[in-house]
Amino acid sequence: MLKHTSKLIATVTTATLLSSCGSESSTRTIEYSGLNQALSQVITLVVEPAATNFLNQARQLDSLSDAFCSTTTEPNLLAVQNQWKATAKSWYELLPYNFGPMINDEVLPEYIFIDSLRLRGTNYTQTVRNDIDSMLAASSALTDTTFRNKNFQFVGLLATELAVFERASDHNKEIGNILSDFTSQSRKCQILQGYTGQLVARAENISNSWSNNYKNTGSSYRKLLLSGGLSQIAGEDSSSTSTKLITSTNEYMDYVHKRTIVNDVAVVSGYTWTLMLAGLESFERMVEGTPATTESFADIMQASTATDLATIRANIVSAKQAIEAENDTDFDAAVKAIDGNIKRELTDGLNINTGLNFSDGD
Amino acid sequence: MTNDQSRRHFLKSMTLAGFMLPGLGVSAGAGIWQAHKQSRSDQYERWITAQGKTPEQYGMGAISPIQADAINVSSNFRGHGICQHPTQPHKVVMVSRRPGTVGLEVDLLSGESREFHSPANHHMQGHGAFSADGNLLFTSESDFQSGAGKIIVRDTHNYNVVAEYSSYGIGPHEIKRMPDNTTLAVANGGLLTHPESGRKVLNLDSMRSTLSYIDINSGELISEHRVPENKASIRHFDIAADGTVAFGMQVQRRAMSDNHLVPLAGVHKPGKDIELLQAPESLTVALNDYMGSVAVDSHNCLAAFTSPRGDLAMFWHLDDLSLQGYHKFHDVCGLALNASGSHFVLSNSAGKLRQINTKTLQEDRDLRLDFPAMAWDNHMMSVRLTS
Repeated sequence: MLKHTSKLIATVTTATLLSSCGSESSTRTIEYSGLNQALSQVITLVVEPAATNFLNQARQLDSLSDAFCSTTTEPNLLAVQNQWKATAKSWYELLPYNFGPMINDEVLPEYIFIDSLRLRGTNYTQTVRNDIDSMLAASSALTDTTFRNKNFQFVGLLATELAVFERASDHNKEIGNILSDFTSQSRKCQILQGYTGQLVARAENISNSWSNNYKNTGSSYRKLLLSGGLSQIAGEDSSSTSTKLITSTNEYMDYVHKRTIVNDVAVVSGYTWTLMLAGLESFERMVEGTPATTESFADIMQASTATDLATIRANIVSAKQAIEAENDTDFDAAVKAIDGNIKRELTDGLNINTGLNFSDGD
Repeated sequence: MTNDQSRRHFLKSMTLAGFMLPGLGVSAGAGIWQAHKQSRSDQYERWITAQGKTPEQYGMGAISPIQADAINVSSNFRGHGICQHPTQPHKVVMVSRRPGTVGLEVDLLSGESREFHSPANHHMQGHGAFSADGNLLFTSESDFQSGAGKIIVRDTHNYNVVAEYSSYGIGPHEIKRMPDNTTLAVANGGLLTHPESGRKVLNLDSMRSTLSYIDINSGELISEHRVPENKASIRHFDIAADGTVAFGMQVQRRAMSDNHLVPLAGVHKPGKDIELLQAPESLTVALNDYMGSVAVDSHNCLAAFTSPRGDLAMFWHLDDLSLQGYHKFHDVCGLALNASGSHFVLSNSAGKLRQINTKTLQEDRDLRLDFPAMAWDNHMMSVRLTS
């Protein structure tokens, strides 16, 4: 009886508080409904398609690598290089949403095997170069297992970039010299195919988790996330969709400017600024929506906090201008501003609560 | 010594302050848990924690895990650490978060509360500890004119200040009584602040953090210990029955010239050097340079840590110092060992509570509690009341 009464107390408390919230503003309920729809559309129209696209691009890269290794011609090498760029671009469209399937395992998160820099901004270029040299010099067989067992520093987009954009011996970037690397030593192709095969495997893990089966639950991460079903999975972060999107995009912007990654990303391929733009435009799609979007974050903010929305848009424009000018100082400043916008304007404008301020010294 | 700055609040003022049994729509009568006197003794367990997101909500939350209900004692200030009177377990004190100046004693049985304040030119640092006999309360504070860290000693009968010790560092934070009852352990975070500049750290270049042991009777320094990374601030700790101190740190990354990885947890065993607790790189990175709370389970030789910036609770063995497990939980910070020692209790800012079995380090999901109207703050303490 006592226990029952106590439970009743808790229930009534909740109901009372919810009632008082609702009575403060009748429009608030409508806004929340709109937000739920907007959140759902960000997931289904921006994030999940980004994971699917990354998988498709990685598969194409793997396929073109096979074709090149069958016929080691300059056009085929150029096709691999271009496809690496397309794959890296698709990765940067996904990278701002670094949660759920991108993590999968806290100790060995999926994303670090694709993008070693993202863990904490450590540039492993020399580490990869040394490993390629070692593999070229060795005689042991290079198999799928060889690459599957490699630590994250030795694989992923960086390793693939170094394999196809420079000659191993002296890091020369002239296409003819890179081609001769492959024609003169068959192991170089085995290395390339090992790298692209692992990229596909990681991309499949992420995309399959998003769309089909997350952690052997039989349900897609998309469905679990949007239905609140994550709380039923042991050890799973069951915070809300809004919290995940705000937190992950905030962390992405933080990573971009604090780690000054323009100095480290895709330097050998010369594709840095395109990737910066890809990440920024992906964030912009989260805010503004896609052509298929019917309710966007921007729609919600326009109705309530239009000034805040204008601030975000202005800073996105500034970041694009900095990218266009390839001005790393202005770019870092603009991204830092967007970082702050996510924490303040976007969060407030969407009425999202991401938690307390556990600040330094507490 | 200052005059008595405490204020005594009786039931009437507490009612106005929001001390209520929620849901019944009535104010609490004297002895808010008198209604539960017929219940089993384990039903007297309460998890006490600072809570609230806004000044209007700030208070001390008291959660009954068995009854699955919670109340809030309004404080009008953002509280931080909680400590329990050793001989009158129904009395708890919540100390305000830096740079607040107010402490609040609450009698959980009578419903009485009283405030006490920092001496002139001092502010609190968030934590306090009672002497073994309960006659004295030690709080970590700072003299904001000199910047010196202080341990303010108060007579708990009236909360008059009766002594002032040096903390032997800047920015003392967590403070606890060692098992020998004659020593205070103090985490000097090393961060200098001033009320006029709010929470801004004023000495990032010269910061120096120590774990210090102080004679509880004389205030003399017994020993102090440092970690190798001088930008790592020792903030929180808990103490095992054998005197092992498990501590958590926060790294002032903006004051560092590179991004090298810094372990955020360590132990200090009596008579030995500090040892840092290692974890896989990805987990340490995920903590975002911030450990928020520490709790020790002496029976199972475990130290638990929480990181709200990493959304992680992590568990190390205190003997071999190996990482035993981790638990993902958004914005987790509050952490306590429950009264029976069966579970670590975790709380977060969304009002959620989770319990991690101390044997398996797995969550017992059937024991989840959710109070969406509450926002549990940094620290939590399990107290067992006696009728």
